[in-house]
Order: sequence, then structure tokens, then C-alpha cells
Amino acid sequence: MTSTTVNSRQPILNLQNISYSYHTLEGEVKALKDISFQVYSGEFISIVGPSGCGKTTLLNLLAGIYRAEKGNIQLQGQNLYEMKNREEIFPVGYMLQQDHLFEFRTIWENVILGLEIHHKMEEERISNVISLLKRYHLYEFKDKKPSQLSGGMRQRVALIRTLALNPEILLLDEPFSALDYQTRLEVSADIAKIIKENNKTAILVTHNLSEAIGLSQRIFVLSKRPAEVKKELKINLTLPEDESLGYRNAPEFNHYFNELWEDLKDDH
Amino acid sequence: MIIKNISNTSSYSKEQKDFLKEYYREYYLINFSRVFLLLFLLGLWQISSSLGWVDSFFFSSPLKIINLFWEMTREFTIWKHIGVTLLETLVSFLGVTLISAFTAMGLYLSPPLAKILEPSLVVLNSLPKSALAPLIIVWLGSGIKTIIIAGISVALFGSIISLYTGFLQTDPGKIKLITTLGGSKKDVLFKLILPSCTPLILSNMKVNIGLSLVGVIIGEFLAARQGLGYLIIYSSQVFQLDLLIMSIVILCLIASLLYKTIQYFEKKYYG
Repeated sequence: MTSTTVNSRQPILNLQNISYSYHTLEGEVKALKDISFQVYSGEFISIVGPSGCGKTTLLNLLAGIYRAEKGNIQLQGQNLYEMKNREEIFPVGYMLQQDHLFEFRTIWENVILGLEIHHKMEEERISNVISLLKRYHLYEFKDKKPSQLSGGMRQRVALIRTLALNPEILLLDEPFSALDYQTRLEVSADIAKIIKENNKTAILVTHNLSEAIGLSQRIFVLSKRPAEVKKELKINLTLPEDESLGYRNAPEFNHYFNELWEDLKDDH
Repeated sequence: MIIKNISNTSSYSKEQKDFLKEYYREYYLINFSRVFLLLFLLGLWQISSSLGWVDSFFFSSPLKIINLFWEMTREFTIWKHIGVTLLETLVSFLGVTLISAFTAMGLYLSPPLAKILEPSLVVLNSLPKSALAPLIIVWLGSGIKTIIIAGISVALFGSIISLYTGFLQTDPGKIKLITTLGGSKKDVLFKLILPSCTPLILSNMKVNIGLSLVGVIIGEFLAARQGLGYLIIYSSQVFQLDLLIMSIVILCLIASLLYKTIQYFEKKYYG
């Protein structure tokens, strides 16, 4: 199903009829079929769907790790794969399921890894990284090794490593799944706050429906493989302001949860 | 092993003191036993030889070896042979380390090349290198160059396979991370694989230093007029068994020294 969002603004990201298949000697596996949707600047979008339906494949396409076989991906009106100034604006940042911090590097050396790779160790970018570390209480740990930090702190470091390149859009591939439940709640709220404070657009892939409802403005439900956009759900929660994880107490929460659950149940 | 200063243990609990006591008791017992075993074997060897339990012409004795070593030291001849063997071993080792590192990096950066070369590398690694030595001598003649190449040939192919296999075992998630940060395969190699494989590279070097020495000795057996391998072959041909055994003892000491040197750098790296 094609998304029919009506929005007068120009989308920052526009996916048009994206299809992708994996090819092996055993045959072709169709992963994505005619995926179309738009994402607008500053939005937090979640993508949910059955296990193995192609959610991570979709993020890999958006990150440019794979190239779509059919269809077109446009970032700010330009073809994502043909952007001439890619080296300057680093359009897409990608946060993986695990933090993948390198133990042979200090926290500081880990967060500047992307800048090192692109030879962009400029004063402005470095001071931006320092201010991010300071703002999120990690600067005093900059000379430590990753194993000396807690799971939540490591995930924040991973986010700052992604933000160091100042990407337009953040792709989040279940970045909280490796954390224990309590840390997961705290870190997901924290990271959503960091993304909002830094005016980033985010696309989160998750199995956790509560997380998707609590963090997003819109949720796309994918069908089983080959994945198609089965539904677009707009989220509008009336949040109690005095609770950091108050979205769970919002009166609309259960309604959204049940609606998503019904959609996903059919594909299991 | 570093022995910490345990004199200031007044603040330690009884259990901690007992643990330290047991730890150091075992540490000293092992070291004492090692030295005792060595001295016991040397003493037994000397007594057996002096009392005629074994024929000292064939089995020599520690004192005869020490005398011979002293004599050859005064004439400076033994140092010349040790120096030549050491030089050839170190050059071979350096050659193996550099060639295998660059080849493994090349194989990693070019998977088709790795697929093409894999069967050849496996065959060359399985081949007994002493079978290649006579061919190398025919091609290059006798001399230091031939011996260094023999030394390199023994360790090279195994080293390439070991490094390349290690490179391939790098966590795919970490490789994906470099890709998501916009890095190329070259960035994966230099920012991730080489730093994370440093322990593998060092342990590979520990194996290579021993194998280089083996290759150099094989080379000296066949194509040398100097070096410890030459001394071993020469002394066996003229039945100077004191010289033969002394050369073997010196080889043992050199092998330990070279191994310990790499181990020192390994410990320095790990802090």
C-alpha cells in the first residue's frame, strides 16, 4: 500500500516504489516490494513489522549500504545515491542494534571515528562533539575505554558518534534492544530527547510497540516478506507533562497498541 | 611475572593474606623446581660422563661444552657463527612479517584475488619446506641470500593464511558500523581490522620467529660455510660431538631469547 500522507511541506525523504531482492545460488528472495512513503523534517517515524520482513533491509537502503533495485529515494529533492555534495553534508546517520564501540579506542577516539574517516577534524566539528559529550555528561569519561561505561552510557556515546557527522536523518535499527528493560526505558527517552534537541529527523525500526507509540509521530506497519507498507498510523498522545515516561498513561495509548497488535497478529 | 611489594599488607584481611601467601608459595615452588630440574639434569649428565656411565666422546659433558665455548670465544669464532645465524634469522623474520602482512591485507582488500590464490597458498603451506631448499640453492647458489629465502619460505605461507583468516573473523557488526559512517574497505582495514588484530599479529610473530630460525638452520645445513647450522653439519661429519651439542645448546638459547623478545613487546602492548 502506498502512503497517502497529505502535507503541504516538501518531504526531507521521499521513497517512491522501492523494491529490493537478495540474490543467492539457491534463488531470489524478495525483501521489499513497492515501498513508498515520505518523511518530513523534524519527524520521528517508526517502522514495525513481523520478524525478518525487511525492516533492516529498508534502513540499509536509506543508508546507501544497498542500492534499491527499483524505485527512487530522494533526500531533499535529490536522488540519494547521486548526491554530489555527500562528502559535505553526510545525509544519513545510522545507529545499529549494538553500540559497536571499539575497545582499542578511548571514548573520545570512538566518537570522532566518523570525522577521522572523512578527514573532517575541523575545529567547528570537534567543538560540536565536545559540547555534545558535555551536554550528556560523558565528557569526563572521554579518556575511558568502552568497557568502563554502563550499557546506557555506551548507547549515548554511539549516538554522539553518529551525530558527530551532523546527519540530516538518523536511522535507528533497534538501538535499545541490547539493553536491559529499565535501562532501555531510560535510554530510549534520553535518546529521543537528544534527537529532538538537535532538530534531527529520525526513523526507528523496532519490535517494541510501546516504544514506537511513545516516541513517534507516525508509525508505518510493514507486511510479512516481501514487505509492503500495510498501514500508516498517526500518533497523537495527550502526554502528562510531569512524567518522563508518561506516554504509557496517555488515554490513547491502549487504542494505538491494540490497533498495531491486530495488524501484526495477522502476519505471524 | 611481576612480584608486587607485599611488605605493606597490614591493611589486608586474613583471607587476603592467606590468598597472597598461597599464591607466592606456588610461584616460588614452580620457579625453584624449574631451576632445580635444569641443574639436576646438567649434574646427572656431568656425573654420567665423568664416571664413564656414558661415553663422553658421543655424549660430551657440560664442562667440556663450557671449555669449548670459552676456547671459541677467545678465538671469536663462535660469535661469528652466532652473529651470522642471528642476522639471517632476523632478516628472514622481518621479511616474513612484512610480506605476510602486506599479502594478507591485499587478499582482504581483493576477495577475487584471495579466491584465486587460496588453493596455491594451502598447497605451498602443506609442502615440507626442506624439499624446496635444494631447488632454491640450485637457483640462487649458496650464500646468505639463499639462506634468508629458505628462512622466509618456511614461515611465509602459514603466516599469510593465519593473518588472512584472522582478518576475516572480524565482527561483521563492527564492519557495518564503519560502512554506516561512510568508510570504505580501506577504512575497515586500517581503522578496525589491523588495530583489533594486533594480538593476532603479535602471536603470529612469535610463531614466525621460531620458524624463521628453523628455515635458516635448514638453509645453513645445505648451503653455508658459516652459522650454527653449518657448525652442526660440519661437526657431525668430523665427529666433533662437543661442538655439535654446544651448537644445539646455543640454538636453544637463541630460540628462547628471540621468543622472549617478542613476548616483551606483546606485554608492552597489553600494558
